[in-house]
Amino acid sequence: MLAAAILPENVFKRFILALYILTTLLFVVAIFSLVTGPMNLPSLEGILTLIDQLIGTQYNALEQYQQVVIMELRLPRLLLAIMVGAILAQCGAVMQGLFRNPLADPGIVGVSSGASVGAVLAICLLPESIGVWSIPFFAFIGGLVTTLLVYRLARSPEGTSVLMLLLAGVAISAFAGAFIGFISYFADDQQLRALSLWQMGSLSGANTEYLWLSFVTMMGLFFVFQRNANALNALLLGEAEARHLGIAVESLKLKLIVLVAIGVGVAVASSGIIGFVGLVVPHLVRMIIGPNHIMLLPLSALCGALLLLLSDLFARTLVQPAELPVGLITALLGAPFFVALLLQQRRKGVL
Amino acid sequence: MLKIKSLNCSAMGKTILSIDHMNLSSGELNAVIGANGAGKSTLLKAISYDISSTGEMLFHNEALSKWSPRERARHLAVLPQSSQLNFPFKAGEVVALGLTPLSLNQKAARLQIKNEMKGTDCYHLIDKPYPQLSGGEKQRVQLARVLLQLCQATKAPLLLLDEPTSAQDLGQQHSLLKLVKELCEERGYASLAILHDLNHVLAYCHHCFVLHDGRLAESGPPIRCLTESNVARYWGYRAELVKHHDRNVII
Repeated sequence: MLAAAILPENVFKRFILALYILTTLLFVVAIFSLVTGPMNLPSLEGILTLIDQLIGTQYNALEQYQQVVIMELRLPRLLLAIMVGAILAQCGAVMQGLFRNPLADPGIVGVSSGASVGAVLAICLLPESIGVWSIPFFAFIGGLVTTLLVYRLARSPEGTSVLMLLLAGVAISAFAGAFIGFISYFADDQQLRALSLWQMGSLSGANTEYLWLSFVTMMGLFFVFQRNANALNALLLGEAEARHLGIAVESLKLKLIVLVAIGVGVAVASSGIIGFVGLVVPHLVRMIIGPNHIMLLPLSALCGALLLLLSDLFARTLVQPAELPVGLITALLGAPFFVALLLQQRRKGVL
Repeated sequence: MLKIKSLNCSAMGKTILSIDHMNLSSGELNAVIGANGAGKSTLLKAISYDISSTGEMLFHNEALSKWSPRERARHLAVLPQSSQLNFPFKAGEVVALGLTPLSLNQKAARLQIKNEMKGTDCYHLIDKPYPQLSGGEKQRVQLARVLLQLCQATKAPLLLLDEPTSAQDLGQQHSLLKLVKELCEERGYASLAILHDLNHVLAYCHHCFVLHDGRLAESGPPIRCLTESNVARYWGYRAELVKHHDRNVII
């Protein structure tokens, strides 16, 4: 809390302004996304439908089937996009702090792949009667094992080695790809569809269980991460330095690793592997506001939600009435953007 | 204030540091010197709990391990040799991290940050990105951070400095050591610094500890420890101790 209090005033003002702008943008894009698609509807009617559903009135002039499209198809998907985007961006930001390395990202270092192996195992090998929670649980276990593995591989007293981080990501992604390919030989048609969804990322599987799960995860992560924001700042100085400041570094790291694995597990279970959100978003926010986690985490959450919402809008509308996997869109937007960021950072001499 | 008794550190089954007895008093700048591999860093890391050790370390008459992490952080700070900070924090934000174990209100915190940064001559850097500072500037910013960390100490604090002069030019080395010496004398800090330049030790330190092969070989005022024969014995260098304008110089 203290570190927030002593932020330079101009930085704090910029933070508040960014919060307002991003929240407004998110709201506008959300409404736009609600009424856009193969069936375009007037924006006002979309808002009225939402209000009607919330307070039980009857202001909107839409047909019953149009209301169903909004409430049962687009709204859950939109909410899932917002929550998964917020989760992924926060996990990316925390992971970069934890690894003290701006290149860490759940997708790039292989945590998402590990989580997808867990999810695929749950889909194909477990009987369906175990229930909807087994997939996120196994995805969490896969993500946790991978995070710990990558962490052990890449850490050194000076921080983490970028090279080891990226190589570990390559190795784990290759293994996960091979494993999922192997499993797909034994999968039936329905399982194959699910598998391809997990590998490319799609938000079309939004259902009530996943919405609640994502909501609880997003809020939980947000509060715990925010409480540890200053400790994360101190961790950027170095583990020994953080310990000298009175922070219980080992338990902090363990807590954060488990939370990131939970976040990535839930994201992967509900929408598959969606890359680059966790990498690009915190980078972008850092360029505006600096690396202080107290501001970085909430802004990343908002920005991640906005990015994934926009990506999903493109994924739904570019080739309508068919749709693209949203993971393709985030990669198409994210990869060149990331290269541009890297070039800019190199010119500035920061990297 | 810090009493060390039969301290033992080992790595891979081999004892790398073994100290029977060592005392630090408040108000003194103490130097840890010795050839490379003599155990200087190990000693600092053992005191700051970065490596495990056996034996007894009493800090203000209470075992260091009994201090709560927060209280310990308020009384024991470490100035790192170099800090790998890859993220573009502003210098002022780096200093503000020293507030972590403290309980200052906003106004007091701002004031204290300003004071510590002025005291270490880096207040003009407060809005500069830390990664773009020179080695000497970074060191002064880090020093302001650890001084801020110690500003709520209720008993005399201990400051550990790991080769504080290594990244600095000649003028900066002297101004840093002068500053640390003044802190010790004026605020009653105890400091323990790993130093390499024996003339720095002679010029600024009240007391010095010479480590040799993991043992405390000499302890006392620098002029008593740094004799020509001792320098030859512990560093394998035939030095000459001369007096120049009332100052002792090793050449």
